[in-house]
Amino acid sequence: MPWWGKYRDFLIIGAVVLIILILMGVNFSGRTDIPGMEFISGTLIKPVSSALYELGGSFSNFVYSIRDIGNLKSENERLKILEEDYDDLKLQAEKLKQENERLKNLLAYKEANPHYDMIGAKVIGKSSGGWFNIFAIDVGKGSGIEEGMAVVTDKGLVGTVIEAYDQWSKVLSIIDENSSVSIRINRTRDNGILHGDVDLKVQGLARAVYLPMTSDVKPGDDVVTSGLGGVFPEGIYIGKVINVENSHGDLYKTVIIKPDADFQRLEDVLVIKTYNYKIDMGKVGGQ
Amino acid sequence: MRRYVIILLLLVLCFAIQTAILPFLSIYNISPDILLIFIAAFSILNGQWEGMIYGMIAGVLMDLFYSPVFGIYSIIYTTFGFFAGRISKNIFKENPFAALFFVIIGSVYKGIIILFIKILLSYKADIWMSFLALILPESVLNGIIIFLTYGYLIRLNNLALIKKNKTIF
Repeated sequence: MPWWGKYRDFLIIGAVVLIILILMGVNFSGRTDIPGMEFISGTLIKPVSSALYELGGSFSNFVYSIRDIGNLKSENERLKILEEDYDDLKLQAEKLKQENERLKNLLAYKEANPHYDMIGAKVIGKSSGGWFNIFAIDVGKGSGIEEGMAVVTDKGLVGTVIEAYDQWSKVLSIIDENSSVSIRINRTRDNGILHGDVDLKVQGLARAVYLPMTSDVKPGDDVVTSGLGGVFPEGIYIGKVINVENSHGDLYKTVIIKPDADFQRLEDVLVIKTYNYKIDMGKVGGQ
Repeated sequence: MRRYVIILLLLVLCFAIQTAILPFLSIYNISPDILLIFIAAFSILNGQWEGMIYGMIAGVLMDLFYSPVFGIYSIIYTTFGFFAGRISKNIFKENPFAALFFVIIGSVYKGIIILFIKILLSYKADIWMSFLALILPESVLNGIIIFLTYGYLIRLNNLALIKKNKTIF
């Protein structure tokens, strides 16, 4: 037996770890496509994960509905009253329908000058545990998705695409600690940076820093993206300020923001497609 | 051969459950790591090499989909699978307390490595907060699950369908 025979097992595991570390370094310094990976992730795993994610959603609804059985009696009473209102509403609905028809025409006019081109996507999975807030969606390069695009729901901004593959993409949500979004308080026009925070993200909150000391931001103010830096379009709604932290000695104000989107139960999202406008900082004169 | 195909499918199933169903059931961002549990049990029962391979498969799956940079989960699960199999060579394998020990150590190990890599990649990471809010509850949860299910996992491992007839590792 050669001298290293005694350590053979450890040499093998050491080699394996070394290979993973090299792959990690290659991956971190610049994305390289691992052959066959697209097939495995897109064709084999995506359908399973996608189906199970829907199952998970309905399971969670089921659990919630069981909890609601106790409320059925009062619910019934309430519904009887509602039914009387129903006839009135029916008339109103007819009226609104016509109004809707008119507004649609207006909208068609507005859509002649489109702001953003959006594409719908379904969430197919989420990182478990609290380590990383990353989720996967079922559209990718094949549908024109690229890295850096903003992901929104009807409630507002939820994240940004960090990696795009042919049939799916990886999205970093805005409450992750590694995510930074340039924001603006809509009423006072103050700019700041929204960061995720380890202990706040559990409650679905995030923290915005670098707001000027002179700002009179108050709880309840609306927060939108500022468009600075060119990653996100301007004016996407994020959420509301719920708390202003103002300690002595700070050079800037810090506020706690509650995004409107429910990061625990994301199902359908929209990706803003056309806006992929990256400023080349080298040309502008920065670093 | 059939044994390894079935175990691979089980791993993919565990992965899908962990990332598609458990997030809906998690409270305060804490959900059990059933891949770690699966690797621990199969590594203790089948030895270091199988543990290493299963760990590698699970780690690559997690890395492809849900980690910011490739390799975090691969390193954790591969080394965990290997050392769980190696250290448990000389112990009584059917004892659930042994599995409990390995799973709790493994959860803490996973937490420490992720924290270490996060700091290395200049993420913001609050060490004490991570210990209290993530590592501790997850270890306890994983421990409870392996303690309750270890008997079934042993039976699963001994099923005629996936029983090992000759060693290739």
